[in-house]
Amino acid sequence: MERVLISTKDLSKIYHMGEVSVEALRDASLDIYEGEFVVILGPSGSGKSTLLNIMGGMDTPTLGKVFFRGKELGDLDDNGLTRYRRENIGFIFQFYNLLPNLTARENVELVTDMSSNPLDVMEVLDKVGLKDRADHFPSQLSGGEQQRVAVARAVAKNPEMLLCDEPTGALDNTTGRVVLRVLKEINQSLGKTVLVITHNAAIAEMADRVLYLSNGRIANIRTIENPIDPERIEW
Amino acid sequence: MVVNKLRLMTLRDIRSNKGQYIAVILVVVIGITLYNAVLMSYQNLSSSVEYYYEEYRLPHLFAKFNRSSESIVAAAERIDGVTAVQGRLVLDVPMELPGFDDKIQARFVSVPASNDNALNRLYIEEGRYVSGSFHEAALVEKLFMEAHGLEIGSTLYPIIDGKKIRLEIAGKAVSPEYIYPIPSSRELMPDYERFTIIYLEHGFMQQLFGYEGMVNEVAVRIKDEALTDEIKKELEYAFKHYGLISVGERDDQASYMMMDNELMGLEAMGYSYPIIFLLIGSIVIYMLLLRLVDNQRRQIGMLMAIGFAKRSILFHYLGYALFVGFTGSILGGLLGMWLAGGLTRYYLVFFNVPVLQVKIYANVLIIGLLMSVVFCGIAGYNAAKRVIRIAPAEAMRPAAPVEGRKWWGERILPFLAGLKISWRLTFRNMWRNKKRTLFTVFAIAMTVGLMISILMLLDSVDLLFDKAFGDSLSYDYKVTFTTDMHRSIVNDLMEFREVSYAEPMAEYPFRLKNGWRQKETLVTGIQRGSQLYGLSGLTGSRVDVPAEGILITEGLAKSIGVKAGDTITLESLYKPETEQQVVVKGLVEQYMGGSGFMEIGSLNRAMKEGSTVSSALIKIRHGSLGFVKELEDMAYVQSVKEPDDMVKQYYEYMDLMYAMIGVIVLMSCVMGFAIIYNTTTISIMERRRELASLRVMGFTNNQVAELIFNENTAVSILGLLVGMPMGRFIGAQIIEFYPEDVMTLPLVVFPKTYMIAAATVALFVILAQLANMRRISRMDLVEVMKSRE
Repeated sequence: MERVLISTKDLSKIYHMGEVSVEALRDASLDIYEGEFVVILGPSGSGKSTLLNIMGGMDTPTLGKVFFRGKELGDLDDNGLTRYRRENIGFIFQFYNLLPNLTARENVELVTDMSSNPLDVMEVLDKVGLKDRADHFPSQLSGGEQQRVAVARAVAKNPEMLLCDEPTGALDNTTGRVVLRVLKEINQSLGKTVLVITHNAAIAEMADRVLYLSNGRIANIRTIENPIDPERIEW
Repeated sequence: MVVNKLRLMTLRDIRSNKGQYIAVILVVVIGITLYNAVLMSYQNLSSSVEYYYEEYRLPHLFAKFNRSSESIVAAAERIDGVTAVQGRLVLDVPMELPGFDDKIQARFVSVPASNDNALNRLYIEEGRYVSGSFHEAALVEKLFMEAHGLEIGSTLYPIIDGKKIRLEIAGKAVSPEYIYPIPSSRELMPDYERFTIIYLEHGFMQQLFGYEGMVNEVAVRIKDEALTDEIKKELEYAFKHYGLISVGERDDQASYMMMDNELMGLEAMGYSYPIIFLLIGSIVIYMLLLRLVDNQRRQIGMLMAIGFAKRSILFHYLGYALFVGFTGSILGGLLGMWLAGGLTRYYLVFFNVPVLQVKIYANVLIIGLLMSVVFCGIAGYNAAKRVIRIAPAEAMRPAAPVEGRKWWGERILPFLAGLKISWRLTFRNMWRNKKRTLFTVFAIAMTVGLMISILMLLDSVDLLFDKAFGDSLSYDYKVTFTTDMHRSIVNDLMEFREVSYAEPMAEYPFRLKNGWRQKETLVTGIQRGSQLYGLSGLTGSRVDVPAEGILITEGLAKSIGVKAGDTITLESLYKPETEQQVVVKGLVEQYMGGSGFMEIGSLNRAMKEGSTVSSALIKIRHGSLGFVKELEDMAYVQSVKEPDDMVKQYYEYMDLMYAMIGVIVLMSCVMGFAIIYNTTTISIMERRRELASLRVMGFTNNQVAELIFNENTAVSILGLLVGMPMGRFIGAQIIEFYPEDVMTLPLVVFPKTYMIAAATVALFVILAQLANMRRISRMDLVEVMKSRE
C-alpha cells in the first residue's frame, strides 16, 4: 500500500576530530513512506541533524546506504547530489537563511526559476499566509514570517520531501505553531512527505510517526493513531 | 604575555588567508620597489652628473660667432662674475671611414694644449691627450669609437674645405658637453655611427681649418648661476660688434637639456607611480580588514569581555596593516636597491657619464618605508576603528541582519527590476556594499587608468609618425647642403635624369618674440603649393604657407601667447639685429622639427638675404638608388635622408620608453589582479552562508559561481568606464609634461588601447574566479548552515 520514499540501511557516521572519533550515528535503519509526517526526537548530540543531512544529500555516511525510491545516493557524484537536492528535497532550517537582498517573493522565485516543475509562487505564498507580504524584504518580516517564507521556498520547487531541522527552534510558541500548521497543511493538501527533527517532544504529537534517537541509535519508533492539530500543541 | 597571544592570532590569521595577504603585499612591494629603484637611479644620476659638470668644468654660457678674433676672449674675462673663459672652434665637417658607406658628420672642437685647466675638461678613457700635430692628433668620442671598432692609432679622414685630411687617433674621450652625443636638440637619438665629436689641439685646429687667430665660440664659466642672465646680457653687449650670433645658456645646449629632461622625468615618475600603487594597496588592506573585523565581531566581544582594552584590540587589527606595510616596504626596498643599480647602468647606455656613483640612499629607503607604513597604517586604522564603537555584549550577539532594500536604480529604471533574479541580486549586493563597490570600482579604474595612460603614449607616438611622415611628407629624400646654397641649386638637381621633381627648403633658427615672451625655434621655409611638404591646420585639413606672414604650431603659439592675426617679431639667430615683424596667419599641427613655417622667399627676406636654401626635397624616378649614393658623395651635400630615417631614429629612441612602458604595464597588471582576486575572495567569504544555502537548495557550484562572477563583471565594467577617461586624463598630463622642445606628442587614444585594457580586466576577472572556484566547491554545507555568524 504505502510506498517507501526513502530508506536507510545500517547508517553510521563517524567524525574524526584530531585524536578522538565521535560516532554520531550508529547502524541507523529506517523507511520513510510517501506522504508521511515524521518527527525525529532526541536530545542534542543524538545524531538527528546528521541523519537529516545524510538523507538530504548534504553529507555522506561513513558506513551504510541511503536509497531514494530505490536508488542509492552513494552512487551520485557532487552534481548528482545537487540535482537530487534540487528536484526532491526542500530544506528548512532553524535559521531561515533567506537572502536579505531579495523580497519574499524573489526568494521563492530564486528556487522556482531553476526547477523543472515548480508550483505557482503566489499560490505557495498564499498557502503560508504571506500573500500580502510578498514584496517585503526579510528584514521587514518577523521571525515567524521569515520562517514561513523559508517553508514556501522549500515547497515551491515541488519536491517530494521537506526536511526540517528545528524549524521552530528560534521562534516563540505562537509563531512556532503557525509554522507547524503550515507544514501540516502542506503535508495534507499537497501530499508532501515532511520530516521534522526537534528536541521538543510536544511537537511529536502532531506526527504520523515518531522516531526517538539516542546516542546515534534509533531507540524507538512509535506510530500515532490520531495526530493532534498543531494548534493544540503546548510547549 | 597576553599581547603576544594577540600577535600570534594575527600571524595565524594571515597564514590562513595567505593568498589575499600575498596579493596585497605584492601591490605594496611593487610601489616601494618602483619608488626605490627610480629615485635611487635619479639620485645616482643627478649627483653624478652634477659632480661631473663641476669637476670637469662645464661652461655656463656659450657665445657663438661666425668668425671672430681671438682677442675677444679678453673682453669676456673683464666681466664681473666670470671665472674662466675659453675661446675655441666648433666646426662640423663631413668625414669618411674606410669600410663605412654612409657619410659621417664630424664635429671638430678645439681644446687647449693642456687638459688640466680647460673648460669642458676631457675624461680620457684610453690613450693620451692631443699632441697638436697629425701624429696623435685627435681625441674621439668614446661611443663612436666603440660603434666602429676604432682603436688608438686608427686613422680618420675628414673632408676639410673639400680636401681629404688624414688624422691619427690619440685617445678615446668623453666631455661633459656631450653626455648625450647629439649634434643639436633637433635630434632625439644619438646616432653613434654617423655623428661624432673630435677634439683637436686649438692651434693645430686653427691651422687645419684656416682659422688662424680666430675663434667661433667663447665658452664662459661664472661664479654664481644666479648671475647667468646678467652676465649673458653683458656678453651680448660686449660682443655686439664682433659678429656675435647668439649667447646660449646650458639649457640651450642639447646634451644638457636632454639630461635635464630625463632627470626631471625620472624624479616625477619616482613619486607619482609608487603613490598610485600605495593608494591601491591601502584600499585593498582597508577592505580586507573591514571584513576581518566584521567576521570576528564575536571574538572582539569576547576579548573585551575578558578585559582587553579597546586600544590593544585596535592595535591588534592595526597590526595586520602594519605587517603588510613593513613586509612590503622591506621587500620593496631590497628589490628596489637591486634594480636601481641595473637601471642606473642602463642609463649609461644612453648617457656618457664617466664618474658615475651607484650608492644606497638611506633617506630614500626610509622615506619609502615611512610612505608604506603611513599608507597602510591609515587604511588599517580606518578599518580597525570600528572595533572601538562595538560594545562587548552587543559584539557577542550576531550582527543585526542585513537590511534588504530595492535600490533607487530599480525604481527609476524599470528594466532593472525585470532582470533575471541573479542579476537583480548582483546589483542589490553592489548597492548593499556601496563602500566596497566604490573602492573596487576606483581601484580597477586606477589600474585601467594607469595602463591606458602608459599605452596611449604608444598611440601618440604612432600618430606622430603617421602625421609627420605618413601623409604630409611625400618626398623621397631630403638633401641637406653643407652650406647655404643659391636657390638655383634646385634647378641643377632637376637636371639630373634620376630626379623627377625637386623643391627648395630652408631651415634657420630664429627667436620669435611677443613682448617679453620669446622662444627660439627653427623656422622652415617651403614654396607655396608645395607638393612634397604638407602642413595640416588644426582641423586636420591641408593648409598652404601664406605669401606673407608665418604659420606657427599650436604649442609655440601657446608658449609665446599669440593667436592668429597677431604680429610677432622674428629675429635671426644667424644675424642678430636682423629683426622683422610678421603676422601670424594661422596655426598648424606639426609634431616634429621646427615650429614656424613661411613661404621660402619671405623667409629669405626676414634673413635679409638673397634666395638661399639649406636643403632640397626631391622625388626620384624608380630604380635610381645608385644615384642617392652619388648624391651623398657630392662635395656640397651633407646628408641625404629619407623621411623613414627619422622614423627609425625615433623608434630607437622609443626603446627606452618601451622598456619603461612594459614594466609599468606589467606592474599594473599584477596590481589589477591582486585587487580583483581579493574582492572576489572577500565577497565569497562574506557571503558563505548565503551561498551555502543556495547550494543546499540545489544550485550547482557553477550557478553559485555565476553570482560572484556577475558581480565582478558589473564592478569591472564600472571600473573600466571610469578608468578609460581617467587614463586619458592622466596620459594627457604626462604628454603635457613631456618637453615640447623634444617633440610635441599628440593627445590620442586608439580604440585598440581601450580594448587591450578591457581584455586585460576581463582576463583577471576570469582568473580570479578560477582561483576561487575551490572556495565555492569545497564549502562545507553542513558546517556553514549550522554556525551562525
